[in-house]
Amino acid sequence: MLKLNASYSKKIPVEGQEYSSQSFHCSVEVEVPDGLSPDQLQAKIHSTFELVRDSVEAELHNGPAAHVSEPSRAVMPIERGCPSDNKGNGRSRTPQGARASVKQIKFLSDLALQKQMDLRDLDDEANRLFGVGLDDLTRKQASEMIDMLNGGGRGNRQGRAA
Amino acid sequence: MEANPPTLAQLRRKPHWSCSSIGTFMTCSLAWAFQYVYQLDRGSTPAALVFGGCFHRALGFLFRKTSVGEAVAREAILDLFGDLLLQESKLSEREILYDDGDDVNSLTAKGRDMLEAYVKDLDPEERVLGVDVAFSVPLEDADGNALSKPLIGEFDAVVAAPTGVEIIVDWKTARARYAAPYVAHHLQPTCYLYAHRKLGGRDDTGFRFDVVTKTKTPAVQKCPTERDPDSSSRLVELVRTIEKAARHECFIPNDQSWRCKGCEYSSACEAWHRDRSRSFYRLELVA
Repeated sequence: MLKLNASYSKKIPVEGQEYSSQSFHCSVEVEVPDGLSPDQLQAKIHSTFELVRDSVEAELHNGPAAHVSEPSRAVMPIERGCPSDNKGNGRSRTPQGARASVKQIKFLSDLALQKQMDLRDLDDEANRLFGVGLDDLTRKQASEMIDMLNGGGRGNRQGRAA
Repeated sequence: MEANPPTLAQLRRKPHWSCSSIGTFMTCSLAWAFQYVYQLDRGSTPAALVFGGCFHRALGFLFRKTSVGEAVAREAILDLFGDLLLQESKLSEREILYDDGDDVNSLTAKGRDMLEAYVKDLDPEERVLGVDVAFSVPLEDADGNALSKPLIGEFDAVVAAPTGVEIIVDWKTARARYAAPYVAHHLQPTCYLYAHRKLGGRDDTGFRFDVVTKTKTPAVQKCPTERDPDSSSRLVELVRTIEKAARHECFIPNDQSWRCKGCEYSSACEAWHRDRSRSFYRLELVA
């Protein structure tokens, strides 16, 4: 049985305190089935690392939010911009940071529909708040929008007409 | 009703049974094992699945608006469907497998026609009581013995007929109309009406498939059906037997299944009788 360890740590400054930072760290160990091809193994490593990284980022921005990646499965990379076998639908970095993940965008879209906003409303909202369309949100901005739609944060609005 | 009932996505995080899981096992236990036990990567997604998902999300949006008395322009729903399908085609983590001659544009046009037909056919007298209502109920036999994992799922919509009777509605897109025996034996009404009764729902609550066909001129077919209490006992016994089979790793290919064409696991299936080296069982997660 193969074992795979993935860890991710991040330091962020403490607001209002110079020369001070908080460190966030997460690591997981998972068992990997025997007999995987190199591609499958790479995909497994990628999805596991992504789970850990997204969990840390989500804790930093939102606490245990629902948009954290689901338990790891041997899925294809979801991060646009990562080497992908089929579609080349990469999500690159913006000057402000990494682009929102596919899961974040999909989660945002579903959340918006539940709040009776359609995708165009959601796109308008992203533009109003961050000056960019839905597709160009950064991870942090997407997290903020998820928070807002969940009822917190700035500019919360619900029930816009379609 | 709970203030913040768990969503289906949240319910899925714990071990469970679902109607689609049970149905998959019934159709091909080996495909079920590849998906839920060995967790093989599917690699691709049939376009029909993506299409159906977008169709469902657009109708969910419409029904939510309707439930709070807000009118929605028909064009807005059709546009939403197109936007969702386009978004899926751009963001899908897996390759989307289109049928010959189809692409995102042709499916958008088809979906718009189908939605238009469905919206025209809506009964203005029906009241929407709920949309995407997730549930989790224990699977209990007639003697009250519960299986280890609950049954979870989500009602697409719950409506009240003009007579006051509640109806669980499930939206389907299909190549052709549903035949009566298919509806009468379908697992979904059995699971959903069982869950509804477990949740304290009324005995006279009905179930209805709202089917929209993908034919050149889409047809809307409403297929009401019901289940007697004995069907619940049969369902629980069925799942209990599946659990036994899974524990003993009794997974066999169903080589004559309709599912074989386009099956995501066809290569693993072809090698199944040669490959006996599986060692990564996550039976606690089977669902």
